[in-house]
Amino acid sequence: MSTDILPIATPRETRKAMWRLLAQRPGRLTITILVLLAASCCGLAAPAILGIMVNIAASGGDVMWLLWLAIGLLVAGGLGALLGILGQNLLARICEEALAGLREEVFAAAVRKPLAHIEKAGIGDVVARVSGDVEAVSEAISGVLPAFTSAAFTIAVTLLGLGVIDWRFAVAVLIAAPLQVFTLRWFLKRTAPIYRTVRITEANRTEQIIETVHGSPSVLALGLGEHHAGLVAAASRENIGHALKGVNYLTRFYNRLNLAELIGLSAVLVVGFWLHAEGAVTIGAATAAALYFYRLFDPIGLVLGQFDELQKAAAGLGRMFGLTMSPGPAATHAPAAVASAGVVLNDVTFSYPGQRPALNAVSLTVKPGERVAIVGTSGAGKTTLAKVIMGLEHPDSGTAWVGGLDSASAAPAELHDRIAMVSQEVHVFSGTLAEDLRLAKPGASAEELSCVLKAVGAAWVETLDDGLETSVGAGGHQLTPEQAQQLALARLKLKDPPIAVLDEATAEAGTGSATMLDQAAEAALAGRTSVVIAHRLSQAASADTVVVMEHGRIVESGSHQELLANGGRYATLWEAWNSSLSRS
Amino acid sequence: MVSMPSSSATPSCPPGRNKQAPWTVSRLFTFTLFANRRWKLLLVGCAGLVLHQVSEALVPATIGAAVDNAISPHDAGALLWWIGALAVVFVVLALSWRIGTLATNRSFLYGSHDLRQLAVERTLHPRGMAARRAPGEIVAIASSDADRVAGLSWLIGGGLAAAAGVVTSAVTLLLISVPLGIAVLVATPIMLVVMHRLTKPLEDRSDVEQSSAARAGALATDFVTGSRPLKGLGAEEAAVSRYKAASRTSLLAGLRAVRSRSAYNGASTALSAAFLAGIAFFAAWFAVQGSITVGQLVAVVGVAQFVQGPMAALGFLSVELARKRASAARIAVLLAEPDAVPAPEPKERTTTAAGSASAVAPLLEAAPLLELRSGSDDAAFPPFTASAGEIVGVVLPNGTQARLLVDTLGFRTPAPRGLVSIDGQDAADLDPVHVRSRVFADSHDGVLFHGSVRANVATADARLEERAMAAAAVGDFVSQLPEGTETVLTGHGQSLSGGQRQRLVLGRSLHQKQPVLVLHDPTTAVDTATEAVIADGLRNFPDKALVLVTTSPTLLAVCDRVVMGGGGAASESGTHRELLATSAGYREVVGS
Repeated sequence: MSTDILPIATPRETRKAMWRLLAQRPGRLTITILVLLAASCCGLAAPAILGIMVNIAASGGDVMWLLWLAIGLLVAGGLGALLGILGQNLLARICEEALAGLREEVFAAAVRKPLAHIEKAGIGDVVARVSGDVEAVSEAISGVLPAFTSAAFTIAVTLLGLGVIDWRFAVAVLIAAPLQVFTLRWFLKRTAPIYRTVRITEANRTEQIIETVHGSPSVLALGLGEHHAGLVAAASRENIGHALKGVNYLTRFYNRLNLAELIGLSAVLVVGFWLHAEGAVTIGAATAAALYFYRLFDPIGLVLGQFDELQKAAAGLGRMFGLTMSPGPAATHAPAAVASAGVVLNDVTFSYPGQRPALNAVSLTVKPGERVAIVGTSGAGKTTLAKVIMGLEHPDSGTAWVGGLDSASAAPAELHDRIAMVSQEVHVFSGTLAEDLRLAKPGASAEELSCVLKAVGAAWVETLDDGLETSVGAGGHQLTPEQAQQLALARLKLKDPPIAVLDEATAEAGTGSATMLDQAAEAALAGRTSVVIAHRLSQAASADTVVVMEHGRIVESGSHQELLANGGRYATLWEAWNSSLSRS
Repeated sequence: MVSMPSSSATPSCPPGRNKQAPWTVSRLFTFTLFANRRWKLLLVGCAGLVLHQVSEALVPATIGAAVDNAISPHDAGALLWWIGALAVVFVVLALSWRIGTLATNRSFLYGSHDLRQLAVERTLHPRGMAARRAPGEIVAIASSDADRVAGLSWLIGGGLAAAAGVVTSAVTLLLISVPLGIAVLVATPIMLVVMHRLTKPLEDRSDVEQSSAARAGALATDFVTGSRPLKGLGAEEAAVSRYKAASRTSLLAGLRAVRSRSAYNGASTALSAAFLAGIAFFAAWFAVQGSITVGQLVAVVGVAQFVQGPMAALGFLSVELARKRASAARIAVLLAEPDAVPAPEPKERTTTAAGSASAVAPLLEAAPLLELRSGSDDAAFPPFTASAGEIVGVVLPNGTQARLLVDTLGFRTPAPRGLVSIDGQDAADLDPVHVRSRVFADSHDGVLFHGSVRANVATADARLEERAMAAAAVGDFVSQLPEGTETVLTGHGQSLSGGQRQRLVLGRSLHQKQPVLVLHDPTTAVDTATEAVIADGLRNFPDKALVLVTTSPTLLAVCDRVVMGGGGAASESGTHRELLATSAGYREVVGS
């Protein structure tokens, strides 16, 4: 589960931020509230008119009068309907626009966040906030909020209407209020932790299904099918247990609200009896009061019942705002010392929290246009070195200069003008192939796209039915790992930075594809200063300089020939690699 | 893609795991409602919800009676009596709702659970699925769709309750006044039809809204998941503007949906106002004429108000049912997905599906553990045999071919008759579980699961085999993990480097009990020095037949025999050194 490194906004901060969003256009907000109030008033006309009808019925009267009153009912209903339509649309416009602005802000904050930050918090947590929480909040805002608002207005206006008939009716209705408030507080307090657990266990269940389905070839090969079905079932059962607990509280909650309804209704009847006996109100007024309260049952149940939905949405909002609150990259515009296309590492030391240094006093100079290959056993610090150069991790001490910028403090946009990296993991962004490529250069023409694809040898694009418009990534056409890596190299070529880092970008090329990807990499790197984390020594042999790393230090560096002549670590590695190829 | 000559897979063979009848929408409905004794829950749930609606419908009548018998004649005793009656109605109403809700909810949760397990078990069936699905799709089917279909118990309980509410109201009205009762009974279906007409566009709009919101959400997930490559490319701002476009589309669809939803709400408000006005007019007229009392007028108006709730609920039934049918259809399609490796025709089988190794093995002791023949025209796979104590290298220049071979040996892709034999028996005739008990062939991108290193590599409480740990070269980094072999790996081992993950997967393969272990490029993410250590370690498995599908010269050097296929040319075989010396094609493939 997430370790909650990302902040969560407090309810107070959330309220403030929400208000700021909603009150962007105060005039529109005021009009919306007035329209909704007017719609509720129209609804109020019905019981009043019905009361008059009861009086006419009790005392005898003209049928024409009854007809006019019925028409009044009809008109009030129609007007209420029109105002309701208008009010709901106005409200939706305000809320949904605010929500759209918020989710865009949250997403931008998420992708602009430093990688180290995202990875420490867990990508899952960030994904949950930009998709799950956004969805939950949208649902609450478009599904619950309109009904909630109109119910709340109805309650307020009805109380007012009861007070107009006789203030004692309003008092009678309010007798039940303490019980309702108490019940709501009891319910929210008891169920908040249960609902949280329900959400967590549901996320666990989803995670388990994803793990099982994603790994199904391994699951089947290992004969673990039943075991994994059991894991999903166990996660599902745990979730059911908590969900049932929640429902149990929910039924008790509504039962207590029923009790409050009974108390309120009895009180209104008693007051009506008393006032009618005293001659203070007519039988029609007493009836209207009873009907007023009777038609409050649904709005009260809705307001109190949806309160927890809104509270859940508020929790989601807190998590969304939290993402925008946490510090973004500190963009200090340190002027470039020298505008060059080189990389200089000055005595760089870096360790992951609680571990021995992954980089220990590493100094390295890559001249403009030079190609440096980094070799070494896994865990020697090669990938960390690449991350520090890219500014994705910040050195504990020492500085990494990239194209004259300090990679730790440079503004990301400036740094990215100078350098780009293709990493080991292949990710095909979902959308069309053209959209995927244009992430590297948003305005690129179709010719440019075809050109870079051709350069990296991705001739397979021609064979796709929809060519560049083929949907790829999750849910689209599945590319092989080799094709995905070619695509990544094509993105690099399109981006065209003066400096490039390849972190074992061709490592996954197993059987048969190594040559093809080496050629693609060659095409993507042509004319650039490059740092290549080399996996196969054939890549090292073609570099200008080879750097050998071990335990976070550089132990050897020089040209391929020099290092072979020295007979050191590299020479041993080369010997091992080459002996398997020798024919004797 | 290379097409394999398909064995006698015919549609006559029932697809999917279920041999009795195919899963259909109606069978899934029956399953979620009645299976595993859920019919009892359904019965109790419906009874509770129906009783609740009946009691709800009695509330306005009781209020009317109180006005008539207590307030109007100033009778304090009668007031107490009628408030008591009201209390009884409320107690019944509260308890029946509680019982009904608890039972229906149980039925819903367990029904959804069972549907979810059906979906998950289908994806884990030993014969696999012809079209594999993305995990996200299975999650959607096993969560949202399962929930929606299982919600049928709510639909039925709620529908019956609504009908009961309408009937109770009608009866109350008929008892008060026959013409008024008839008016309600006639107006109700008319209103239902009109509302049904109104819900149609609403349904379409909300589908558009949902799908565009889902697209924006999926885009966000995709970009955040791929944030490493995204940041490597410096494409954050491009991603932001693409998300913004999707978000705006979703906003517009949302606003359109609100427009139609509010229009629907408005129409239904206006419609019910018209209904109320009509009923109130006639009831008041009757009261003026003296054919009903004032209290009965109050009851009629109250009932007319109440009855609109259940009527609206009935109006929505068909929309809800259509949604549930669509979800059930998605589940049914998954469950009916043909097997990746279809079961052979019964008459063709030389052994029963459950044919156990012990029953047949003695006859064929001389046969090699694994034999691959290239009898067909498809010469892509070189023929080879593998017996205990041998390491066989298989070199295929084409990555797709290599994956296909490993998938065939792992029973993920059907083996054409005559291609693969295991212990002398044609694999096409064998049961997948049996094949996998003899040959272990994980895919190249084998994944690690949530759990300790030990649980991943062996089993939670098993001893770790030294030779396997040594041959996978995992000792050095595992000992440096915070809790050594007991360190819990999360999220497919994301905290490890690619090379470390690959070595753990190799270690897991080498722990398997099967006599034949197929390893597909097990060292692509491992450095050269470590690869040499691994190659050395592989010699310590004299009880196993190892098949290495690879182009790595380091691994091929330790093979007893190497065969090379593909490229249309006749396959070649020999030792690594012999092939290096004699075959230019081989040198090109492994030398790079």
